[in-house]
Amino acid sequence: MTEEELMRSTLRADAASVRHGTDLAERIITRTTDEPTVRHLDHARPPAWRNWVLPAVAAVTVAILIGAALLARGLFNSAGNTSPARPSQSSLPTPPPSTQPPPSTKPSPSTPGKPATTPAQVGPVGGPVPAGFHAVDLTWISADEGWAIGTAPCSTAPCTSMVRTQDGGRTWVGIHAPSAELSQQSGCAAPCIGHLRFASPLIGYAFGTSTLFMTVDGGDHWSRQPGGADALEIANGTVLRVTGQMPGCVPGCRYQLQRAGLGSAAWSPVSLPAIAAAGDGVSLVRTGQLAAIQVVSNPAGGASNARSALLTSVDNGSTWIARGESCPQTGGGNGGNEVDSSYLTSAADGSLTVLCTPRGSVNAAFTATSTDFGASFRAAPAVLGRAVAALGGVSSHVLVAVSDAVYRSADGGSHWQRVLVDPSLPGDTASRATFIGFENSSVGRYLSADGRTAYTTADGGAHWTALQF
Amino acid sequence: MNTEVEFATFVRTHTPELFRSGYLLTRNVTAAEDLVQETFTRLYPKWSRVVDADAPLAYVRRSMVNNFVNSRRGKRGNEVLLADPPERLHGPDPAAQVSDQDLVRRMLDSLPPRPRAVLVLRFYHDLTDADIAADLGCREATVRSIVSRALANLREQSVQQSNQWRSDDSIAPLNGMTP
Repeated sequence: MTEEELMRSTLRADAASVRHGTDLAERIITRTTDEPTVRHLDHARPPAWRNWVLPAVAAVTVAILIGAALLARGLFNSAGNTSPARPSQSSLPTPPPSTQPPPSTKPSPSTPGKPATTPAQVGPVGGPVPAGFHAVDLTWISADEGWAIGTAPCSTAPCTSMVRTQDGGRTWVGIHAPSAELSQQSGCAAPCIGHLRFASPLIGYAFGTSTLFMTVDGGDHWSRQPGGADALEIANGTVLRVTGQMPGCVPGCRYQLQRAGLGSAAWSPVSLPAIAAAGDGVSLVRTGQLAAIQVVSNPAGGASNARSALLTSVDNGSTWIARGESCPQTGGGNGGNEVDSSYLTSAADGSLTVLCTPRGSVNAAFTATSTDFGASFRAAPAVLGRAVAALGGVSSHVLVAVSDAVYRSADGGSHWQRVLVDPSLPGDTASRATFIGFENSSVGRYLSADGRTAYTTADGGAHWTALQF
Repeated sequence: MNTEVEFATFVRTHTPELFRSGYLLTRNVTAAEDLVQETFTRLYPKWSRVVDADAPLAYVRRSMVNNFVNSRRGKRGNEVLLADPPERLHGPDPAAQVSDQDLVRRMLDSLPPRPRAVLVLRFYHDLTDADIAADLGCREATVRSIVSRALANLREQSVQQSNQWRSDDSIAPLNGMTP
């Protein structure tokens, strides 16, 4: 085959194999024909006289200013000859203009080894944060850029709202949210969404068990995708979602894993070990090439054999290994020796940590950590002594747990220290879902129990700063 | 037929083909979708000109190619920030013997926008040098030079790869085991 033929066949093969989102044409039509600023571009063109009059005015102004400056200097010099000598200002080093902040000597904590992320002026401009907004989920793509989904009082349902920050949470603006109710609210009428993930300033996903919306323009428009997502995470340019096989998956149903490129509506199934893919709840975590899924059975009512199963992948979610139950089954709790695994979390160093709760003994919960991609777990010697509502992993040694306050362990779960008091945390934390997550070994976020404050840490959870929506 | 209906019909009919061209230009699905959308957004206000053209699809494609070339001048394109950089192999991996097609893809990935556009127009759309030059606003000699250099580069890479495989096949004797 000649080089020309090779070039031809390669390009044709690539063109034949690539697929765009199923609704690309519709998105283009909607975006183009519904956008008044686009439609009337020809009419909005500035008059031709501006092309030369404005530059001419600017040039004359500059000439006048230069002339005035020269004249003033001549007058100043002649006056200076009669005054006492004083240090020449021009001999001093000229400071840079003070409009720019001094360059930081520290790299951006969220992107070690990479250039700091510049807040992109892309996506919708945004409006004010809706009054009374409280969030239920957060997502961040850098130390500066993040989004929150929540709700605010409104006259006509759905009242789901979405906000965005481009300065690390100091200021927020409201952006368009999909037309769906929040699944965290009681009596949610479908479609319901409760979680949010963004991959870039433009590409994001809002999802619930049976609903998935995607945006490719930063939230200006949301398009409904087939199916839903019990869990969805983004890493390495791919999106993984775990979804129940049937809408409204009943307890004990099988979970399916699907994968898509960023912003693509073409989801392809990924096979999971069948024996481990049934359960009543599922969580998905990703760190680099590592991905892990935990499928849990419902332990309600002291059901025996309510096992969980861990699945791990080290190739970006392409192939999976069933690891079985993460927690050691030697609990001795009220429900016997069965220990329930929950709150799977991954850390930047690739470690996986789960919360282990002896059946019926929430106050005897402890953590177990794996540093070999889930092949084995080492149980921490200490119990937390209180019910846990969320767990975050900074590394295999540094863990953060949310209970009646936020606690941190720097020794793999052996000792815990209270690091943050969240006034909105109720006494019974087990029933209150909260968000805690770490983007790397330094930067993490915690969403207050009432959803009104996003706390951020830059030192691995030791200290937290409150940022109001 | 009013403009909106005409436009919608055209978009629905030709988006798949334009997307494929966009993908070959951008080498990225999301960027290709953005490119197609941006092209239509720019053309919609003057859609009557597109309809009046001798070959409307060629007109749109030419506009898209020029959008691609011009929008990527002096910047790195729509880069997506990833949590972690993709893993890279350290040194030659005998298991990763790239195919000839991978050589082409790698070469296209490494090319600046204009030469890449030339190759796509030449070898995917089978345009003549004269048509490509007219589309991109350059001389025919420039087009010929780009094509010629790309083919030579490909030939050279192919030879280097063959030599690499041959040297990998030869097994060096272990220390102390030399007969």
